[in-house]
Amino acid sequence: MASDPKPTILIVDDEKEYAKATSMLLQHSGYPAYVAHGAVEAMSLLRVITPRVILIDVMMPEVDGLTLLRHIGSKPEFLHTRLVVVSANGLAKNRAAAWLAGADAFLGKPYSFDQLHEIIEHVLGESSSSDSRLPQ
Amino acid sequence: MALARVLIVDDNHAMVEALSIVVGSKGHDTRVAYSGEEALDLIRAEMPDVVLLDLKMPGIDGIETLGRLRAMPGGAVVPVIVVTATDEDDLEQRVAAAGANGILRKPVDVADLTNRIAELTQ
Repeated sequence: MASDPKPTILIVDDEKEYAKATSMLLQHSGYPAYVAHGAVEAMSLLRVITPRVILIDVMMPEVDGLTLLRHIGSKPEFLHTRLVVVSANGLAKNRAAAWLAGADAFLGKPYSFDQLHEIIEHVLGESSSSDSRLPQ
Repeated sequence: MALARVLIVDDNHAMVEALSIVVGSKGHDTRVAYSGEEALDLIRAEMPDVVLLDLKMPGIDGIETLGRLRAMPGGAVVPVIVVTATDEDDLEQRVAAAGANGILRKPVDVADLTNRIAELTQ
């Protein structure tokens, strides 16, 4: 019997090599993975796909990752989508800012294959038991 | 930017911690309270320069807390920013009528938050 298909993941990162490598790692593990190199491209993709997980880089030109995160988080159609902030700057204040913006998890750059998998499994595990992105 | 004593009032401990980190990272001196009653006790001991106030809390809620603060000696002029996930149509009017100086929606835009604190403490 065929197993359930793995959930779709969207990677939003203006660093094309990083996005490509992450996408390849996820696809190798069986996740359907899409890539957007900025917020505008991401929002275009999100008109046709509803990923279960979105990895969002913080430092992007034009629209930064946290602004994109808040925008996605405000849309009811993405209530069950888990949002992971990715940043090379893992200072406590940046992690706190990501959490306040509605992130479900934070992934520091550079990340290993294992760290990427761990965070994906972590947020997918939470998604079945929690509908609330932020505490009230 | 003037550094301020900022009182953070929210029954959600994770929210208090996150707000404390980002506000403290700007050099402000933070105090925290996990209920309206605790906030009013802290305010009686030392008047803050700014209050970040959640609305939905057990015990006395944010609006009631704000009303009691405004009735205290010296409490009428303390800037209060309501930080809330509540999405009611008349919220802005209710909050303004209760005497708040501003409202910030959760999820929180940290840049907006720190700009508001800077404006209110100039």
